Amino acid sequence: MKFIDPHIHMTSRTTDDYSRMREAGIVAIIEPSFWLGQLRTNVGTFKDYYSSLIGWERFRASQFGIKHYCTIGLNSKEANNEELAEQVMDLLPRFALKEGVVGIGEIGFDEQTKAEEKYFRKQLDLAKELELPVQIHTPHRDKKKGTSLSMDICLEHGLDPEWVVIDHNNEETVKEVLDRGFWAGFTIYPNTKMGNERMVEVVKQYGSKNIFINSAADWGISDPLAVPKTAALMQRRGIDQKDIEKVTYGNALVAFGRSGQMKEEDWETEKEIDLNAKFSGNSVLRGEQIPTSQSNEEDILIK
Amino acid sequence: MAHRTATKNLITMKQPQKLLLDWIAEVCSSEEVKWLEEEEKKFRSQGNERDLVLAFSKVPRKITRKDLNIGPEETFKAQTLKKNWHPENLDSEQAARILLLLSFASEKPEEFSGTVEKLLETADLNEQITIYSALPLFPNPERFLQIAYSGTRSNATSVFDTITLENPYPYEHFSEEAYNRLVLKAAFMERPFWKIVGIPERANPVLAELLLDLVSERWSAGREFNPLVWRLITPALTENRFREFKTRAKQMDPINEEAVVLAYEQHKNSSTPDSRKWEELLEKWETQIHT
Repeated sequence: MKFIDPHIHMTSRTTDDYSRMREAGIVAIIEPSFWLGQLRTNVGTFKDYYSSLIGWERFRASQFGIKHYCTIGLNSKEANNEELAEQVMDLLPRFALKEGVVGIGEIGFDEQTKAEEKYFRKQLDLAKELELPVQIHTPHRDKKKGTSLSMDICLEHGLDPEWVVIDHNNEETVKEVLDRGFWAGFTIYPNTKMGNERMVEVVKQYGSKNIFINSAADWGISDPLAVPKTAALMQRRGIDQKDIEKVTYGNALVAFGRSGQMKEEDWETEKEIDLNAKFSGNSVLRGEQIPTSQSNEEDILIK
Repeated sequence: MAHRTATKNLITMKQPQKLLLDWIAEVCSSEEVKWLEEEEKKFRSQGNERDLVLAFSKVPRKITRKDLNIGPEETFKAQTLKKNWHPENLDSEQAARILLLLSFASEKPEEFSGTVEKLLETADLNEQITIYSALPLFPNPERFLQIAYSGTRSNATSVFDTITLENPYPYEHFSEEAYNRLVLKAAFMERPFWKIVGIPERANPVLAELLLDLVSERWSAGREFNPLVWRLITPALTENRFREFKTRAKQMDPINEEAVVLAYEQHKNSSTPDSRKWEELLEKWETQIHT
């Protein structure tokens, strides 16, 4: 099977992750702009960060046969530094229309402050102007209200819900998101977000329409193989293959494909990567454990 | 059809631009060509940097990426305009971007290097590759030296290759020291360093010493090395070294042993390097590593 992980922060991951991801069938990934674990203090570091997302990280992924896309945005935490946020806002249009930029993201709320709301709104307008999808981070705290509010604001700004991905859903938020016609992203992330057994139950209950999953793997304890592992678990738990394909590949492609910057041909027609391809003299691909429905259950569970 | 549309405005265009537009018109629709011509005209009348930046970014949305299939005849034309220019691997999108850059440059030659710096600050991978591949065509080429050096420091091989391989810029503008560093890095990164313009004429004793150290280091680590490097080591190959490295080469592989012998013969006879023999060695080496 092939997979798309539509939310993963490769900047904080190693080359081992890339080779395991490719071996497990991940063909394309989307890296949303986010914060780096600590607050930045000047606009230059934002510029270099965005520039690495469309340059170096894209190259690094290509070494492993993975197509790398990204979304560009000012994250909610750093929106609270208004002086800096203004400068970052000026920077965004210089990156948002680059090739392979599939949306504005990840934006939204963290503590649901006034400043967060201000820059959320500004970026929604930018997305609308540039005709790009939006990838919305929903808050960890006061989540249900924050999720509803994010959708209210999107509609208020005249965005089409089919162009908006509401991410990091759980059992409490999913119904409203689907009912209002938005895309519902689920993050399979140990301990703090969704476990994949719970995810199986969500798909059993709601089906596969408008739902897709991601790993949001970053610098925390997270799992870059969350998408293929969850697909394997779904197979094992009897979910229809067509539904698995949608939530682990097809739906993300439709949602972010609206940008016009992400097409199946991008990886289907890509030359077979040369297994002898050298990266600083070292061959990059090695045999790795591939999660399949035959794997030991222990190995594919994410709790 | 497309071709005919493109030729109308060409009289006022400069030579490389004309060639680029011809190639684009061969593979792109007349609408795509029209967009490009209109953008190009804009710089000729106004030379506005903002327009260039916008048009440059918009190219992938306006021009379908297609191989230009540039054959030997077109390469010949290109090289009569710019010696050692290798446009063979250009696609329509890159050609369109280069055309825009050149049109802007001919209007604003003074501002142009600053504009290129600005573009590179936020350039994605394909944009970087395009800009570095066009360096040899830019007016006032000496102003792009720092830009070219940064390109050679890139860790993305696709970017490094563009400035390094089959690109006349380093050959024409790099000091010997910088040129040597470039060849050494290319060899170190196991890139096909023999495709650097100026190889082997620009081979020199300093470079030979650097490369000899590199090969020695690799062999000590039990790693193979491309035998073509010996062609560049020739100036440093004293009799003692010849004996030492011939023995070591024997332990590595027969092709390298042949290379050491060939290099020493050239060194002794100060004969003109026999390219054919080196090409045969490379061919042998490539067959060997692919089986």
